[in-house]
Amino acid sequence: MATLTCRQLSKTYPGGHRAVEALDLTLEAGELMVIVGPSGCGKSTLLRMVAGLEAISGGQLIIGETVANALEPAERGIAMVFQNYALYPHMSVFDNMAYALKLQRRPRAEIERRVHEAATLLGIDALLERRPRQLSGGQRQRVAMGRAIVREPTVFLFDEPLSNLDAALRVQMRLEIRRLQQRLGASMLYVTHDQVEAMTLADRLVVMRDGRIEQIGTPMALFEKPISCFVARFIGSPAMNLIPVKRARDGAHLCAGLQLSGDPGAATLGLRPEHLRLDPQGELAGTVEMIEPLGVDALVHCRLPEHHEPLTARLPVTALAASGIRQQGAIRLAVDGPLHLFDDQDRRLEHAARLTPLSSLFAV
Amino acid sequence: MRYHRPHLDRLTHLLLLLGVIVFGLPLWLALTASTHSAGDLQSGIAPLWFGSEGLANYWQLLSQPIAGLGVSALRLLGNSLVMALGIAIGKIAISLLAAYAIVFFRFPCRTLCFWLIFITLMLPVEVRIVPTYGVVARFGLIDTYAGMILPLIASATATFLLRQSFMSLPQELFEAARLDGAGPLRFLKDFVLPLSKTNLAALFVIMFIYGWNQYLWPLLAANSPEHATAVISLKNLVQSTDTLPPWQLATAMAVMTVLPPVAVIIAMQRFFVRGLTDTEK
Repeated sequence: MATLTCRQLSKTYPGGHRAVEALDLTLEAGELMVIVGPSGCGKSTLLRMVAGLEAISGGQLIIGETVANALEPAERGIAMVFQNYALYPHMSVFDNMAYALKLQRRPRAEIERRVHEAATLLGIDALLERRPRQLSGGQRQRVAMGRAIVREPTVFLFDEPLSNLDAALRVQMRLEIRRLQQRLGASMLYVTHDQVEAMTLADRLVVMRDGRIEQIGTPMALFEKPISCFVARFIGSPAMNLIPVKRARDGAHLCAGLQLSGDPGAATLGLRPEHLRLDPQGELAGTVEMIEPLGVDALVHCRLPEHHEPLTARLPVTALAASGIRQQGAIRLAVDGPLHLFDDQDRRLEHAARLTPLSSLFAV
Repeated sequence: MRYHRPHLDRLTHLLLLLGVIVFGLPLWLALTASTHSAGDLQSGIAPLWFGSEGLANYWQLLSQPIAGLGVSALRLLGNSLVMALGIAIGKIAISLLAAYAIVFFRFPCRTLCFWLIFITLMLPVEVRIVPTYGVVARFGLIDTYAGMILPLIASATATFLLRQSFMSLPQELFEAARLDGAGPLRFLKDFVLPLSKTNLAALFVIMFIYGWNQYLWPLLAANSPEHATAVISLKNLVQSTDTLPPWQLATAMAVMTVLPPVAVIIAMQRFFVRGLTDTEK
């Protein structure tokens, strides 16, 4: 069952800038949908339109069963968690969470019960008398979520809620949001620019670009079959290597000193850094420019012949040490995974392809 | 900032002390003079220490009508209080709503409205006194509290200060409150007022003193002694044609006139000191 439906939703600013263009989207009940994209892609505008903080220029917004285009934010059955939490500084944690219910003129006993339930769920019941400024970042984040939970909304909206936290806390809160969502069976729309957050949280992932949806699907579907170079570059960390395919005079397709066989239409070849492996007989030969150790693995940036951008490979540190790979030294890599092919419009091509060394052609 | 230079510290303290003496001496002279009898002061030499007539002088002012005015000091101070409170509260109420509208609402000519309010800074009552008097007279408000207060309660300064203070409130606060179901008036009451408490306290002090110190306008608008203010009475007290002015009464009245603003500053000071130290909004 859909809890939120956008039909041809658009936003045009008075200056004529089109932030969101005819967007179709359906959020299923109990689903956590993450909207991800670079800054300025319209993801926050979309969220604010759903919240009612931004006027809708065209299309239809349906929340639950009702068309919500003209409803006041408080009447939409949504609750929002802001990037800077937007806690009420002059109110205690309890009052912060109870404020919406007080305005709804709920009975005192019900307000107390709902606030205490939410506080217990989030582990902040000991903090109810405190003021926001007496709380740490993670605690504030929890209060902001508690304020949303207390209202029992149809849809939760999150606007980059973790970007003000430090890295360790971000990982912890990410898990907590996920756990909470599954426990409440809540429908959530979550906006972020952090692709790791997006991958780990999402049931379905929406990649936006210039006010349009570029691709929508499960995180793994987007990782395995990115529909365009844009998605390929955006999903996955480190980003996918994209190598242009050149046409030789004899019609062969050349790519970084190699022959690409099997697909005539490809303009770009994509290789995930995780799908490269050290191999003395590997087809890719280059020089190591930089090694970034991450612990178990290291990111190795190599320079290939006839390709300007460095190629990144994620390789086990032990293997690197065993084969004596050093900076400025030579390296040979083999492809150990799917090749992603994109046409000259940067769209995905579904064809099998193979990379072979040029020299082996002469051998055949 | 603090430098580790003991000589500099001594010098600055010396300068501060000098400043205190320069500002404090006239007040001290007024205070001591108000405790002497009229005869003591006729010598023309200001006494530097208290006399014996203090209570009698103050009691005379508070209990008996002042010669030439016909009302007691109590009435004068009461009038001043009504006017100063009226002006301070009126100014804050009007500029609060104006600043709220300018900061939180999007309406056509918003900026124009702000600048129109702002340029009234160049039109204090002294500049527009003739037309203002005409308007107030036609409304039949001469010699009423309303006539003394109303022409002074529009304030560009207060609007500007509150606008700056409101603009420092994060926009998300407004949005979060809106999501929680707070309408514009409720947001004003539940958020803007409590969060600008310290600014309002500071404004109140400034505006109360401004109202209390008004001279020219109440001189014109309040003709009868029943509406005369304490500040105006000071001039009446030292104005006598045939005898020496009753300096002991004039200085006692001056001391009493100084006290209410001082009381307001002391009462409000802890609010705006907190406002300065409590940076989190």
